Amino acid sequence: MANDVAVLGRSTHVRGRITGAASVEIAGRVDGEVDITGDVVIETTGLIGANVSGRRVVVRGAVKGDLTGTESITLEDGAKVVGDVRAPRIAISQGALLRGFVQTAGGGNAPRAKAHSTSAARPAIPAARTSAAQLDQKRSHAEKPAAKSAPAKIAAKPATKAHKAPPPPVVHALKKGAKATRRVGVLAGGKH
Amino acid sequence: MASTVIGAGITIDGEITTDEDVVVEGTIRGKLTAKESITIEAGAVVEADVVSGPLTVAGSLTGNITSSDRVDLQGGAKVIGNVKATRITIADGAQFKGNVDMDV
Amino acid sequence: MASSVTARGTHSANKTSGSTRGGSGARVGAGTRIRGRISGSGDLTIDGNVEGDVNVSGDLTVGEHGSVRGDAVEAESITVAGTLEAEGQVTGQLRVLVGSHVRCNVKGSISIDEGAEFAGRIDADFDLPPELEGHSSSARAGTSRRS
Repeated sequence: MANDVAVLGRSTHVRGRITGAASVEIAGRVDGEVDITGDVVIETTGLIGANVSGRRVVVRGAVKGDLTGTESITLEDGAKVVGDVRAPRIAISQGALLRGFVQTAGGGNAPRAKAHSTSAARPAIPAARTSAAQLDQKRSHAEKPAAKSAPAKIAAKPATKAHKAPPPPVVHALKKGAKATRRVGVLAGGKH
Repeated sequence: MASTVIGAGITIDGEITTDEDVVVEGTIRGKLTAKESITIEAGAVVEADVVSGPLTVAGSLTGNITSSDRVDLQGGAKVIGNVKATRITIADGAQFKGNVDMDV
Repeated sequence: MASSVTARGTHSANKTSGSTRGGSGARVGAGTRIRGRISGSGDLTIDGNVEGDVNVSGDLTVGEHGSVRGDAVEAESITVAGTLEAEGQVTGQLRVLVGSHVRCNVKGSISIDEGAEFAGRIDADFDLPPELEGHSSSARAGTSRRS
């Protein structure tokens, strides 16, 4: 008979991706992404080495990766999470341990002070280049009529402007870029 | 009840190893290794090499089977791959394509 | 328990006095606004509005209608039913109750009730199980990144 829940027992080790529409209970170890549209329960013996997303995500075990809940995330006593936690509703019990960013609905933007130092440790070049390129694009769009008369001159101008762009937008873009590189790192790690 | 169940609607791409009984109702692509029994239910799709104790197949299995015990292909099962086991039964209505190697 | 809390800065109370000495610590009453730094020993309850840093040795409670907006907030334990926004670091055991709005980075342990609004980084000191620790060197670097 069809079960709409998957159970990975304590001694079960999955190296790879778990996807699907059902719910999962994980008491074993998963080195790979868990991407489920149903609920995810990570039991006390559960060890997950990658990102986890589900509708309602309950963690009693250990996760090294980002948690995303489309409805809610609950970190119970004994949970150990290193990664970011994002869901409309988040509950963290006393005794749950977390290192990472937490964001609920209505929480607003994170305080900038710490975000600044966080991104400082991460590669800055690709993100900075992106934001400069975006600025270039925007500006060349805006200045298109003028560009017809003196294309070479105008093309050089936005580039210098982009380099002088004020820090706040760059920092914002940095965060995004840094995030992406870290995700890739975790995924690549999971495949070994 | 088995302690590891890959329910219908779940897909695992990768390698699974376990000391427990496994019931598969969903999809597995990769490799499946269990010390105890594996049951591949009707509707399940396994595209993986399987290493197990007793193996029962009612669903679809593409891959080589190595069992330390018996392999039981039930009616409705569709198996493509070589089977190495101590005993094998192929029920009426089971589809099977591959070689059988039994330790005699 | 005797407690003494001093507030430095502009201090405008329309009804209640800014801080009342009582058996269970100081209190910034509803309707009280404090702009400036609050520091002291003992417990502090804030039912009014504080703009500035808060540093108390005991327990800090931000009541349902209270708010704290500052840079650094430090206390033995911090319980928030109202609003807490800190651009810098919050140090202490933080409890975020349902209905509250908290935006801060936390050094230490935290509990969040489901339904609370929260955004920020949490930095608890612990080790993952060894199976996960050795897994990827990039995330390990992330662990020790904090300074």
